[in-house]
Amino acid sequence: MNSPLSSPPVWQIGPVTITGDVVATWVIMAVLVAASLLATRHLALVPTRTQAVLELIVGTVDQQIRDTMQLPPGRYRAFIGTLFGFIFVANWSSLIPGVRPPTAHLETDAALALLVFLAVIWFGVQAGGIRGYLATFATPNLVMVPLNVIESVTRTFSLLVRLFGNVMSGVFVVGIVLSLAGLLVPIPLMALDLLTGAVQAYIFAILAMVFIAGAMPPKGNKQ
Amino acid sequence: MTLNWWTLGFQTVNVLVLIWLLQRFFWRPVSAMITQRQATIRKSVDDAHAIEAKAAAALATTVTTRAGFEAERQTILADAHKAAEAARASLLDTARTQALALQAAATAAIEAGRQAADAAWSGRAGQLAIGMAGRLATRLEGAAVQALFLDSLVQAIRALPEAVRAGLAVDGVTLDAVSDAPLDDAARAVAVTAIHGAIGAQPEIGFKVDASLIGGLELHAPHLTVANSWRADLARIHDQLPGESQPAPRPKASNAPLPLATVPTAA
Amino acid sequence: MNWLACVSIVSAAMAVSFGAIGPALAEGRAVAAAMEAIARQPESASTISRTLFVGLAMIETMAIYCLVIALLLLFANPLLK
Repeated sequence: MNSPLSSPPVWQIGPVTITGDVVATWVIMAVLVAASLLATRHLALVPTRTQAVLELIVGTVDQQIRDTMQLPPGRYRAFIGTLFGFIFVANWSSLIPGVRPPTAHLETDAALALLVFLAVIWFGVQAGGIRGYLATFATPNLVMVPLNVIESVTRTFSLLVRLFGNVMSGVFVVGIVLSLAGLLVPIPLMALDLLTGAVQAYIFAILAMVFIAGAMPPKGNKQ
Repeated sequence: MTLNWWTLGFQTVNVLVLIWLLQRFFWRPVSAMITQRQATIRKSVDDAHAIEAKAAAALATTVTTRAGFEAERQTILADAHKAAEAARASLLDTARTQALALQAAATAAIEAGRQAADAAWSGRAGQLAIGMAGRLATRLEGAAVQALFLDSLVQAIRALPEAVRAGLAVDGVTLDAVSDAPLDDAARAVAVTAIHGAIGAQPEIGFKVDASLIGGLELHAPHLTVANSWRADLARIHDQLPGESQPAPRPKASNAPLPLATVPTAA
Repeated sequence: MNWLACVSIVSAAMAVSFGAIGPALAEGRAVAAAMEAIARQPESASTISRTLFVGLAMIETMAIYCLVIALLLLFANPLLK
């Protein structure tokens, strides 16, 4: 049994190793972008059925951002929505035979968690300036500054490990069951894996929102 | 535990690029479309509100105009009422005035008619009375009456002015003694003698008969008539009667001396 | 197989088993409380379920941590190299 913690390299170009995760991610990217291009070709004021579905997706993302962050969703929509969409599609790509989800490997999750970490800083600084962003570490009082600093790192690791553990465990369990009994037995586990994948994508996006909202200056939070 | 840093970097860049691409091709167009539709809907709603407000304003204007119409109508009605009232009052006044005038005219007419009738009746009563008196007087025939008439004729001639009396006595003038009944010779001689004595001359005297005198003796000269008869008396009384509300002709039977009028006849 | 590998396997199993107890209890309580809250206030069901999901994920993270530790012990044990 292969270690679930390592991903085999597909190509080795000099020092650059390109793993299957990167290839899978490229494929997912291509699919997502192509789908978006196809779907948004004929946008009109009077929506078709496809457009209604698209607008429902966008509206739902906006509503979630509004509910969770208590902020206008315009600036965060692309980041949060893309995170959710990518993780969702990546998790469910385990349906395709022979494909290991990119999120089942530590590197992709680490990249996502790193992006959330950077986004928290980026949006925090954008909203309140560097001073305002740093001031959010002193909430509720100055004693909490070290804890807040440590938390901002640990919650990133928590994010990473949560997504990785869920997706990897799902894939791992399905693999183990598959090695024991090949036919029909893994199907409930695969269904559970799909549910876990969807919920984890949702939770990842929600947590990203919560972290970003936590980096907003308190004045912005009250709005 | 190994972490492939190249893969980490690749995935980070990949996700970033994906975020950018989806932002470019998915999130922004769709949300722009949503915003555009919302703006369109809001605009239509605003337009509808504006149209509604306009309609409400128009309605208010109409209501105001209608109220103005109503007030105007009330004013016109009130004016008409007033005019009608005034016309009615003036008509009533006119009618009353006319009625009063008519009444007055009618009263006057009635009064005039009554007076005319009174006058007519008075005239007729006078004539009747004179007629009756004349009829009565015809019965007074005889020598005594004749003598009385002769006396009064003589007195009347003597009462004439001297010049006139002299005019009677001019030669060639024939005087006519007119009586109601032919006189016999003795009466003629007495009368001639008396008249000659009164005049103071002896003009020729002819005798004529005129039954219409009723009774009496008159002397007719060419330029003068000495009226001395019932007829002349009655005519004089009759002339005095009209206009008097209570004519009271005296019965001639009393034969009160009446003023004798000498009426100059037209030559 | 040396004793280190034996200890690693045993401790990995123990990590998963004991690490599953606490999150299981916690998730049961959380779901029960959420059910009660939804029964009391059905109109805020969406907010409660969203919060419940996030909380469940947080709780589950503990179990996942244990699973990751076990996997590390099994597949990436630095002492076995």
